[in-house]
Amino acid sequence: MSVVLRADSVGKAFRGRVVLTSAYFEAAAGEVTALMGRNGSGKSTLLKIAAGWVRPDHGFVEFLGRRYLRPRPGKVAAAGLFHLPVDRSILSPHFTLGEHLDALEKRFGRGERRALLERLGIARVEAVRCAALSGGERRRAEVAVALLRRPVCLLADEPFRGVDPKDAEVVQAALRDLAREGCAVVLTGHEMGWVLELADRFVWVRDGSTQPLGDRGETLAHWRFRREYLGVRSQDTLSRLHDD
Amino acid sequence: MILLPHFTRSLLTRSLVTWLFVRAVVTVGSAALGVPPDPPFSIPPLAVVLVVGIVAVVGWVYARRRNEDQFLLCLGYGPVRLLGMLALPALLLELGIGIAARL
Repeated sequence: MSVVLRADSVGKAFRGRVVLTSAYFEAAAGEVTALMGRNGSGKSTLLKIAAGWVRPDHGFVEFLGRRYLRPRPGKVAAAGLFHLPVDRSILSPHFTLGEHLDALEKRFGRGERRALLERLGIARVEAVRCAALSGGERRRAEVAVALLRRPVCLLADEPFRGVDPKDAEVVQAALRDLAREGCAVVLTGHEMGWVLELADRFVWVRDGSTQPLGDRGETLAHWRFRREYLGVRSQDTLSRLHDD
Repeated sequence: MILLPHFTRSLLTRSLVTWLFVRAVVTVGSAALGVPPDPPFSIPPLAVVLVVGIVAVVGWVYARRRNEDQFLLCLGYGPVRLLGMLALPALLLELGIGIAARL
């Protein structure tokens, strides 16, 4: 699998608080990579730096073979990188989901919009203003925008956040299909059941740096990750899930 | 140019309304200070730059509050293009007024 996106030696501090010191991750076409780590470990910052939304203090980002000290967000987005942040919605509350999709299709061409909305269970809210959507509907609407874009690389920060289990299953399948079509998917999230099932490779973000964990089995077998991230209770549950 | 259904109209309308408001304030302010524009509606070049700048910044703040900047960024339109788009109507109108005043 070819590497589409690579962030190397990335460091970032916010007003003296060091979040990242020397982080590295790469995303390959057709694969789902999960960045795991505790709250405040720098996962979201790393994704924002990769998308050009935050300027790194040092390090570089490589996207589609081109190296950037600071990628320009508009430029990499136009080239096929799509960032789905968690702290701000990408949808304007003053427009309907349909109006957002109209704009997207005008920019990047038409896609199978109706089928996608049906699949994500949000076809009935297409004409509803985004301000009136529930948290779960909004998240699925954002995922719909990302999927309709057909990006080369999708950076999804906590795509399962606020989504109920039944819909999370749909979102998970949609992201899996996107990867199958050749998109490099990078995601974060604490919903271990969904993330473990979906991702092919895992990277642990801790102490400002990153540590590759390997595939699902290797990740669950990593004693330090189990002890420091999963905690005692969830370990048995996840091990059972993995065994099944 | 950002040419998108719904979004372009929204950005331009807001830009236009802000320009009208800022222009009205400048004109009324000048008259109140006892220096009415001569010829009518014309203002010094520095004031034109200020008006266009204010229109762009106010438009950008609104776009940010309405999350339009995030969506446009996902579509490949960065902050520079957004600011340019917001400043464009004010710039064209000021140019138009400047040319009309010289005729």
